[in-house]
Amino acid sequence: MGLGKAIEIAQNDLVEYNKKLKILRDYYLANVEKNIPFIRINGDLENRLAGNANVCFKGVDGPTLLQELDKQGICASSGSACSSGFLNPSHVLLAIGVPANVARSSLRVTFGRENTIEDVDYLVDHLVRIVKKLR
Amino acid sequence: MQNIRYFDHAATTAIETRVLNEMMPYLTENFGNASSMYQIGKKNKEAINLARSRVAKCLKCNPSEIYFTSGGTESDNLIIKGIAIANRRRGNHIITTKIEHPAVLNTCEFLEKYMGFRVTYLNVDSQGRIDLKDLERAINRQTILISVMFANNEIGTIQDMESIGRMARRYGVYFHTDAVQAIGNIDIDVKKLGISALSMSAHKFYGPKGIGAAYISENVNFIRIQDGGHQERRQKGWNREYSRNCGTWKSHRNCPK
Ligand SMILES: Cc1ncc(COP(=O)(O)O)c(C=O)c1O
Repeated sequence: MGLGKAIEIAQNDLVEYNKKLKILRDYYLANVEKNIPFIRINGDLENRLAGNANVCFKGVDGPTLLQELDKQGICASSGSACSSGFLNPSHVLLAIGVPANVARSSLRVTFGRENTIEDVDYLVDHLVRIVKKLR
Repeated sequence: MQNIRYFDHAATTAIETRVLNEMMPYLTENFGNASSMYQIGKKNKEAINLARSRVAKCLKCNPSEIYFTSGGTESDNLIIKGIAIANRRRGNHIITTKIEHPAVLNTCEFLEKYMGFRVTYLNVDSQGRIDLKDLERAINRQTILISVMFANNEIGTIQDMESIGRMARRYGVYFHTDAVQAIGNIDIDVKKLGISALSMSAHKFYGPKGIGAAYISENVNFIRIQDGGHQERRQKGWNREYSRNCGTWKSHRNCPK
């Protein structure tokens, strides 16, 4: 029942949901690009899930970055959830040609229904500060 | 406690209230076995059929082509191993990509290591997309299955499903896609895209954890890999495997190599 209802809701909401996620994602990327130097945005910008942003903050250790964000109540991930916490660089980032040391600095942010623009501001503010500190 | 700001929806999502409300009666009063003869069981059977038709409606396929599973991992295993083993006599080659989720990668490795299959892992470009020419070159007489994820869980890249589906059809090879990240984000028409089998997982689109589904087209020669009772029409799946003759399968297989 749960799966059936969830898929029905998701399907009915598809257009609006994508529109919303894309606004949040583009706003996030624009602000990160504007405020943080030495970054690398990973993946296709056109053929891409609307809610996904994957960015490498060169010179920053991914797991440490996640811990610092967590202290501010921010949940994100480095690469895939399964490899979070391990030092192994993501097989996906390596496959798209990201050097191993850069791949270790990746942060995956994936937006969803409850997120707001204000959440993104909060995230970017802390990212700017933490990335500066860790570098 | 401070406010939590959650930006990890590709990992999992919170269950939506409307979904939970719809589930509650089935967790409390209507807990009966759906295959039973009594009322509360029969009600559950109706509920399962409703859920099945909702999933089928989303994918634009027949409800009989939907199998419920415990999630994306089980769907990937069920489909890839089930197709590989059922078609073993026709070929031992599988094509997938380097950026698949471990549920697909490790399943393919298992088939390589223990079941004598050969697996090609396609490279992707800097955007995370496979090259269709690489795919075509990789197909040979032994190829039975192409498994390419719809959208990547780490970088969000969406593959050119329509072209992959077209190529799979042209060479008479089954096409599976791990759509765990795509469902709820992309409108999918499995027939139009030429998809033979697809995996999904409810907790990625505000549904409960521990349930997923596999779409397996009725044209697919497929065998169940888990044995047990006859839930999820396993018996039918079994019969289907044996009702399909090699002739039909070969007739749409026109690989030049
Ligand atoms: C692409 C992909 N496939 C499969 C899975 C596994 O799904 P589940 O957690 O339902 O087993 C995931 C979840 O992380 C995924 O992102």
